Amino acid sequence: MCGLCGSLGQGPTWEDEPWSDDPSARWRLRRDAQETAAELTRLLAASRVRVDANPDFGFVVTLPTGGVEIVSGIAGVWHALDALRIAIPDPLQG
Amino acid sequence: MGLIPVHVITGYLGSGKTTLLNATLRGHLGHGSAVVVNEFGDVGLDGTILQAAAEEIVELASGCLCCTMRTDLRETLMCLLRRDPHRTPLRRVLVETSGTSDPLPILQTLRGDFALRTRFRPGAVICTVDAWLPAIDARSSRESLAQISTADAYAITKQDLAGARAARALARRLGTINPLAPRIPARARGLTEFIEAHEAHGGYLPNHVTEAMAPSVRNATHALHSVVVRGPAPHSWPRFALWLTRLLHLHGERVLRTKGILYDRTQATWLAVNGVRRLLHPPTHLSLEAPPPWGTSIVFITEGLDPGLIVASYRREFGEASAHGSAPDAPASDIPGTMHEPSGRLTTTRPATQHAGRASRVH
Repeated sequence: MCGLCGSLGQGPTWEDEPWSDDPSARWRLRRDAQETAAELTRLLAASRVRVDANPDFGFVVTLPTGGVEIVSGIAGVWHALDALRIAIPDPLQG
Repeated sequence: MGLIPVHVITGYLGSGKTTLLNATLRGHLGHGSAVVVNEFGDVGLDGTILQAAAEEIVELASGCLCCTMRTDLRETLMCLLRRDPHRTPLRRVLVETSGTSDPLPILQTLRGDFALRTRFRPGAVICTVDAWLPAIDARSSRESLAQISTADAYAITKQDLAGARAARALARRLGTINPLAPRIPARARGLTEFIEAHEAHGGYLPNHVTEAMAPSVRNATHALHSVVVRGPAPHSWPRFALWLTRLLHLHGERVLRTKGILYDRTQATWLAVNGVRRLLHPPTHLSLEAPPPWGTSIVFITEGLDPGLIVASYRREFGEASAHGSAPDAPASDIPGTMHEPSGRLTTTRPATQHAGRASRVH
């Protein structure tokens, strides 16, 4: 389990017994999710969107209106922003 | 029990998918294999042709797998798990697509459905390409290009009709469309060996990838380009994850393939990323016997998108990246086996020989 797994991977599920007995893996997962959420919040600051991590189910996206969306991963954040017509910063545009 | 690999045999209409699969299943690969055949039309012939070879044949005859069969595919795979326990345990599933299918939705179904995701994993995508009537010329369809660009390997069929020269020319063209995919012999043994190696290495063959990373930039026909981004490994994995997923989310229709190896400083290990358009597989940890000579490298195959924009973007996010030159340009500090001497001078224990590696999958 590395930082990229924590950010991109699906993480452990309730069927993955080894993970449930490995507190260090869970701790890393929590830390990676929080770092990812902090990066998302920084990236989306101009849109006044805040993202918080919950390693049990993914991310909580708080919108400028106060509304909340719960998503299961980074891809879910992008889809939620698309659905709400909130611009996603394009990495190809400097 | 480990996840059961689901391999996809794809290829344009009449390119020899069933013939190759049938020959392969007569060997030991047929033992413990189930085959899901997709027919486009009312009368399914492929299932009949394959009937005698595999442990189990399931025929989906209601049309193009990529468009209409996600639910059926799910139900079929789950049914395969519930079969007679006295039979040979299911070791793999081979899905033969119809000639007009795009294989990507099959992979998306495997990754996106929770029930499937916890029991199956995407295996190799092998594309058969007809050397006699290749479907990648001026009248090539988008389906054919999608099949080739999604493939992990390709087999050129009907060389006996087309001749060796035509097959070589076709191989060169395929190399410009998908330089990540190695060519395998269009014989039962070639397909068997590739599938077994793919399963043994957890779905990742680092040597094939790093060999494909040798070229820097390739321009090809069909508005397809490939570029190798080489440079320092990302200093922040969350930031890299956001960069890559944003790129694929916003431009996934034009980024056909993503495949790369990156060095994780904190755990001193190499990671692999693998994506097909917007689908990004979970990262894989590699156990390399020697570091790749090019260091951190990511290959992008794009269609209608200037790959220089991706290189520039990576540079803005993570420091100086390069898409030029064949010499290793990753900082030595990215490479395992490299250490700081007390004097502060960098030395490397990297052997001069070609790398070889095996991979372990991370779930």
